Amino acid sequence: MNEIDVLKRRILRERMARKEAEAILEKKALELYKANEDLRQLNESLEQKVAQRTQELQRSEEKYRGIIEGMELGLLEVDLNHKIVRAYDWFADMTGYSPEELIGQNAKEVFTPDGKFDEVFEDEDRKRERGQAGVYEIQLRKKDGSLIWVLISGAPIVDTEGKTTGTLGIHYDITARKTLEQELAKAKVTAEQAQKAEQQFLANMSHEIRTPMNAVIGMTHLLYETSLSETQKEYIDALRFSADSLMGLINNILDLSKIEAGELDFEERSFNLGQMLKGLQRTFQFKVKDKPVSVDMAIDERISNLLIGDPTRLNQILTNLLGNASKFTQNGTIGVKAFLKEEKVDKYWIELHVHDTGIGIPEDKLELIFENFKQADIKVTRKYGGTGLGLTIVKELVEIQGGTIKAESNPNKGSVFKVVLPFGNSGIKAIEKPKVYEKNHIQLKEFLKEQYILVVEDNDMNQKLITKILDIWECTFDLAINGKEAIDFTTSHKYDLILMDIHMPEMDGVEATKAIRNSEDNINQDVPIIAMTAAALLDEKNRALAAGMNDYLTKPFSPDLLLDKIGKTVGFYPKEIVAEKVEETSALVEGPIISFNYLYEFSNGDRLFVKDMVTTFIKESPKAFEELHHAFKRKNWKIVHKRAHSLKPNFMMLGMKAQEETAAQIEKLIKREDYQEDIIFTLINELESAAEQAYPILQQKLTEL
Amino acid sequence: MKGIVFTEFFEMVEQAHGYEMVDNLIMDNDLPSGGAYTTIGTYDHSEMVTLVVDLGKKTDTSVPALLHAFGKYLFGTFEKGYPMFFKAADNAFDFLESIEKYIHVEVKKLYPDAQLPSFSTKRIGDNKLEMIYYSDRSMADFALGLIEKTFDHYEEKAVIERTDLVENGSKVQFLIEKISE
Repeated sequence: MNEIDVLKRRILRERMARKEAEAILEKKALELYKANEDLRQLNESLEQKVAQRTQELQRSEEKYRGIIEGMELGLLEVDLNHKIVRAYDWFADMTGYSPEELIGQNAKEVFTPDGKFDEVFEDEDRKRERGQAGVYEIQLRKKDGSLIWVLISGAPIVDTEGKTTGTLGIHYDITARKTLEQELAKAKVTAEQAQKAEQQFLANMSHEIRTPMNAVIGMTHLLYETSLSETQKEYIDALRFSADSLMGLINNILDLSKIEAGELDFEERSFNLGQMLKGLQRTFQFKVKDKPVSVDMAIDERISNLLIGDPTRLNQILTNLLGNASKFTQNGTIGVKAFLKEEKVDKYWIELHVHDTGIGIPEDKLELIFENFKQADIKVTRKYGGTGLGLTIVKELVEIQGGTIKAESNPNKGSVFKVVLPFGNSGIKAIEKPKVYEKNHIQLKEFLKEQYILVVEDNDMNQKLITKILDIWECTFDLAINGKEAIDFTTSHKYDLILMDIHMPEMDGVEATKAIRNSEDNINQDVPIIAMTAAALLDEKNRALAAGMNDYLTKPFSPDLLLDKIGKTVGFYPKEIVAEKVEETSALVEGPIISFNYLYEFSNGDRLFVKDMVTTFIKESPKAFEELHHAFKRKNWKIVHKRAHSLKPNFMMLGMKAQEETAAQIEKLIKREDYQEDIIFTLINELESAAEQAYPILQQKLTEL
Repeated sequence: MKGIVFTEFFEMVEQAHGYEMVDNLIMDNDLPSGGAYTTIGTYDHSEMVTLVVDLGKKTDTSVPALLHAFGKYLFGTFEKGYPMFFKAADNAFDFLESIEKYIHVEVKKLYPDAQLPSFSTKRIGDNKLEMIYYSDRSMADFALGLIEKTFDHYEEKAVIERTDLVENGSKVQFLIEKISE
């Protein structure tokens, strides 16, 4: 009975619990339904917001894509392995693919299968890894196999965590520009080749013409020396005039081609403007001697110092202008006035007026006269001759040096050509003579008689010069022909002084000096050594001093200068700077200038010595030129350099300054490894024809000695 | 208090003493719910106190011993009903530390009205854990039963030292030292 009651109560309790549970469940279900409703509404509004934002984003993206694609720029997105993630329409059009074809492909393999730009890609990849953008140009292969050039601006694509996941490349088709660039480059090369060929032709032609012309001019000079009838003399005058004109024309053409090729070099050395004007005066007085024309030169007295610049070129400018002046002036005055326009610490601006009282130039033609092959009037050419090249060259020469030129004229009254040029100021008075120790020279010469000197020199003519002067001074000396021989001499004799050439075969002066200075048991280890350098190159001097030489002497040198240097080096004089003598070029226009002044001065007027030197020159020079040509043909620049170097002092001794400079120019070109064969060839030929022109004149002079 | 505690309590009593004892406990006490409990319902905590105290009288057992036994019993229910909580920890210490930080947080999400004790834990060396029990219900014995069964679950052994930090038993320290075999 009790058990049944307990059971009944239990069932009752279970039913109550179930009802309660059901009620809770129903309540919970309702809550759940409500929560679900809320959630759904929330979701809907969220989705709406997302859709709206996405649309906005797409619109903005579309806008920018539209802008970029509208600018004909192709967009491409790749991942870090160059796999194409997205290709935009314009890019696809550009390369001939559809965007679908490109997705998933390796951009490098599709567009640059030959790997030509792998290095560029590597560089760019590295930049991208560092988060940097880059701009570069490469060539892409289109679907049809054709190639296009594109300029790419690549920027890293960065994810939300700041990690680079790939590159967005903006491509701009620059094929047209590239093609144009290449065509321009090709056209430039063609034009340059054509220009070079033209220059070569001009150089060759002028050389071919000049060689026989030199013979004509040389022979004409010799003819003058023979006994001639008046008629014959007249004919020769005409012959010489024509030959000179022709030569002038050829020189002008060559100069112009040099100017156009930008190959004109300008010197920097000191010169005396007053002396130059005096030289020009003499030359033109001779030219106008048959006309009632006087030649006036005037120089501003404020131009008191030696100028620094290129005297040869200035001479050329003034000769040309004065040539015109004398040509167009039948009576009256021609001349040059030099003014100091502006003076600065180390610079002179000089204004030169070349004036005449000639036929003048009409005002409307004043601009024209500086142009190639132009003369004021076509009739002028017929009446006065000339090519119209002279003023073009003058204008170029002035302007290259930073100067200006202009012409002023009154028809039938005359013209003035105003040239303004900058020059350096040497600070040396133009009238100042080199400071020499005249008073002490006699004592020094007495002193030298007791000295034992070693001369080391390989060049024949230099040997003769130096031994001549030492003979005059009654010095005791030995002669070694190279560094090796010099060392042999120094081991057996004790010297008071060594005069050492730098450039020598076997062993040069620098090596020999080092050997003497470094040898403990050499009795001459501390002997004074003076270098004799032909090249006025600073590094040559430094090399000599570094090797242990006491001083140096630049060839050419006068006996007085040698005496001063010796006096200074052996301690006879106080150590003062001995000014080097500045020599002046005289202004002759045609034929090589030859002067024996140097040789006479050197030998104290010893005619036999001069004769010997001249004979040696005539005998040795053709051999030297033969060697020079041979070496040039085999392009053995070392030998060409050596020969030019050894010829230089020979010309110097004969006062052939222009040729000395030409030889120096050959030397300079080879020294800086500037092997412009046509130029070197022209220079060698210039030198040779000048020498050939000189031989008959020298022969003639020999008979007069 | 959640209904499951009541239904499980009756389950334990029925297993030990038969349904007649359950019936007696209901009949002899004035319970507001009438003794009809459902697991998902919520009932006054005082009903449980009444039931436990009366059971102690009827079986001549102390209340702490009853609570301790009930804790051990209920662990089995939890083990079966919520296996994910046990899988989330690799060992007993990790599990005990996860009660406050993880399990109770989840329970609160499911039953926002549930009133739960709180625990703080602190590791003292590799093998020692200090666990402090805080609850106004003062049912640390019940907690001890659960803690002991935890070590059985992870097949570990430990010595547990219990210290009441306040007199009413609302703050109790358990110093648990794991013993390696």
